[in-house]
Amino acid sequence: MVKEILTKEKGKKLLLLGNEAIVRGALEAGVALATTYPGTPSSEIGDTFFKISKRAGMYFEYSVNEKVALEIAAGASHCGVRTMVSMKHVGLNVAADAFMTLIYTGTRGGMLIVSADDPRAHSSQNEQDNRFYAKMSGAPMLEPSTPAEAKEMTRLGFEISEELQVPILLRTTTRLNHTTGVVTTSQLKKPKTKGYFEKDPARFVMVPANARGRHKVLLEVIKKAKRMSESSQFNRIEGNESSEVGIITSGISYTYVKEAVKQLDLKNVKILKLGMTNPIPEKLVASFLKGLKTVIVVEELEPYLEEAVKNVAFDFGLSPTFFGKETGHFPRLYEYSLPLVRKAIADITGAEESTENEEVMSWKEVSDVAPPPRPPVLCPGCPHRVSYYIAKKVAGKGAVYSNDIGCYTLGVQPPLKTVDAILCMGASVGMGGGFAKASDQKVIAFIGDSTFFASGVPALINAVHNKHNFVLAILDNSTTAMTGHQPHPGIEVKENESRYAAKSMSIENLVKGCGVEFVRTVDPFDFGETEKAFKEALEFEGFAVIIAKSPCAILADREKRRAGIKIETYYIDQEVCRRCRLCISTFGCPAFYIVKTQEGKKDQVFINENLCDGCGACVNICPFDAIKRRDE
Amino acid sequence: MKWNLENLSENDTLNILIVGVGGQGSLLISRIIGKAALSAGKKVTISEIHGMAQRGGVVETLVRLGEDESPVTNDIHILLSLEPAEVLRNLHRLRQDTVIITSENEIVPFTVSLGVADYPDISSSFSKLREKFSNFISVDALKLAKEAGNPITSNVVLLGCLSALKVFPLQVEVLEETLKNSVPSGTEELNLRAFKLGREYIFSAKKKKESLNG
Repeated sequence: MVKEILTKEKGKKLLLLGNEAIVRGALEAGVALATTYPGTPSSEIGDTFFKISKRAGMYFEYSVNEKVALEIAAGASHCGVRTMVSMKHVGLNVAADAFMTLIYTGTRGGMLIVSADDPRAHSSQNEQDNRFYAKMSGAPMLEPSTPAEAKEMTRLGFEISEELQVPILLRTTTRLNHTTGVVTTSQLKKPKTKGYFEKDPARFVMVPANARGRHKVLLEVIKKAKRMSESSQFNRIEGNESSEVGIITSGISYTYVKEAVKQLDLKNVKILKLGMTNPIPEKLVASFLKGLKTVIVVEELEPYLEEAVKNVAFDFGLSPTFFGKETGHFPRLYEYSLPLVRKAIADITGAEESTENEEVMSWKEVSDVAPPPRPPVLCPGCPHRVSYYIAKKVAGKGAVYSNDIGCYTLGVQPPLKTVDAILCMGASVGMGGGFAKASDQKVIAFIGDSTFFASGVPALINAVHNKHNFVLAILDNSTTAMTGHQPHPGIEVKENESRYAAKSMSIENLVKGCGVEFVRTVDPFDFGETEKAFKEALEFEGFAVIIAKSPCAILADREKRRAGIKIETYYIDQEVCRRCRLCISTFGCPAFYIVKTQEGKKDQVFINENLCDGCGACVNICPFDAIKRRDE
Repeated sequence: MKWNLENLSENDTLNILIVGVGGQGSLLISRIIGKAALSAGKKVTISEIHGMAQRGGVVETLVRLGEDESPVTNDIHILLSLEPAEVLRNLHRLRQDTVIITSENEIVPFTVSLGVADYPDISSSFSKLREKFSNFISVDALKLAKEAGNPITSNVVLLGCLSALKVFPLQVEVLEETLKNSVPSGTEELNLRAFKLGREYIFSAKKKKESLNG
């Protein structure tokens, strides 16, 4: 893939993930600097840059959070080089402070901000619609429908950005980011990695007087952007011009509309496919609306286009009948699909949907029980499980477990249930202070290492300064595990052919440097020490920090396999086991499984040694010493 | 509308849904199909959902061979299931004429060990499915993978099964070539053996069926 994405060949067809297509587009535009903070569904953009940046002759970094990532790209763009910053939708909330004013100063080198929205919240805490960030800021916005279009929009987005001298929002959704399609290459462009920062205080120094001036400039930019949108190649009308039914759509919804119209065999329908969705091309929309009796707006999440086109209709004195979210034909929730869009369009137009095979089958017809849910769980050997087990043993069920975003969120599952509150990155620490101030419950906040660096540090400083009284456990598995094991400031990255080098920072030193009086670093697999640390931390009057440090089991096992080290597994001695099931009911490693025995007898518990990671933590759980190492 | 497999022409898009559990390698086989399609000059769109898959979750990939690009559809022509209970989970998305190829090798999730869920009686479910679907094929992929030399190649056994279907449009030579280029070096022969065993399994199953019908 690495070699392919860097191909110099023009017109070559590549099979690329949406996220990889965005990277290819950026390379074809000669991007010189790219930054990110990883987050599904955007992560593969950064991961691809990470692998190729050196060979591509450009700079890439995993920044500490989205705000910093955006600021670095902004500074570099001010020097005249082309930059890209990518993040998941909620990442733009973090970066919004910088973003909302960057649009005032504008940028010099082309700059693209990729927002990867997540309708249905496949792996997110909400399903916010970031198109409103474009509207709120004034940033021009592009919404691709396919990987091929994502590549083209990225490539040309840099030119639009330079022409308008503002950053462009490339708004994607999970189904674009994680769809693989055929992409045809254009020429690669050699990145211009150095520019020069020409001082221009009236533009770049956002004190009130200058801000007022720049707001005026921004309105002019928006006007110009609107003219570009009117004639943009990404906004186009398809189908029979004289139709009385028109469908307006953008992004991934376009693929559903196009296919639904084809399947329903609707000849008398035209489609306005919008790719540049801010500013809305009002004249184009008006000319599309003219003569239409029925207008259907198809877009996931919020009625962003629906409201905009209704405004246009009002301004131009047009009054077709609108169908969309307001009429209840399309939901504001979750993702769309071809069947959903097809059915709605059929209902509105009166087209006949195929009635063949209409019968919907169900597992109920072939099974007495439902297929079992497969929620993601903490891996066998995961150090977080051990930290949670011990913390809960010490603090009990009544304690408040303020938690955060990452793999360790999976502690929400039984039997651990050590996640009582989740809000956003870093919120465990801030909320921990709130829980402690406003209740007499014991409070333990948990945060992962990457999340701690990203947004836990200011809250930690606040907890020290304002004398909050709770325990913060930093679960340090030395990676950003959830999003695919990206490095972070706590990890040294050794330079090699494809990667940049980065220094590591000690969390313990940082915490101590902030003035935390109680700091204890433990290996969670050392049950005795860890239990002692939690006990003392809870007894400590004031803010206490425990750093539970042990590497991510996925990475540790991978390294063992590479080095040819055998994993020494464990088994349950059925002669000794009293079948109390404490191993399952309190610890819950997924390597345990139950075998049902005859009526009246307790079920047997076994360890699946294909899954066992050999961590041996469960030996500490079993009160009867029934768990034994295989090779002893 | 030509959603029926029987009426599917060369110009229609063939939809293959590949389902399984994290770590089974369903993404790899969907990529192999995709690359093979690309080298055969056929348009392909692959949509995947694998949130937290490494941690035991469900992995789902839709492979669309043809011009249509919608990433989510229920017009499934072929279901390739790497785990038997996953067939049941996706039943509501299938039609009478959907071809089902499924592994018989159960992966019991932790919810069952915990006692909060039950695992279906697969052999009873499968015999009912055999009555409902005229094209239902189950395979002990693990056994064939072991026969090939490594249990990890179960996914490739199933790819072999898929390749043997009459409706599958890609040539076996192209698939084999792509397979060779997509697996870690040194494992090419192993994977080709697994692929062939899967393929032969379908051919012998077809023969068996024909002799029964005849």
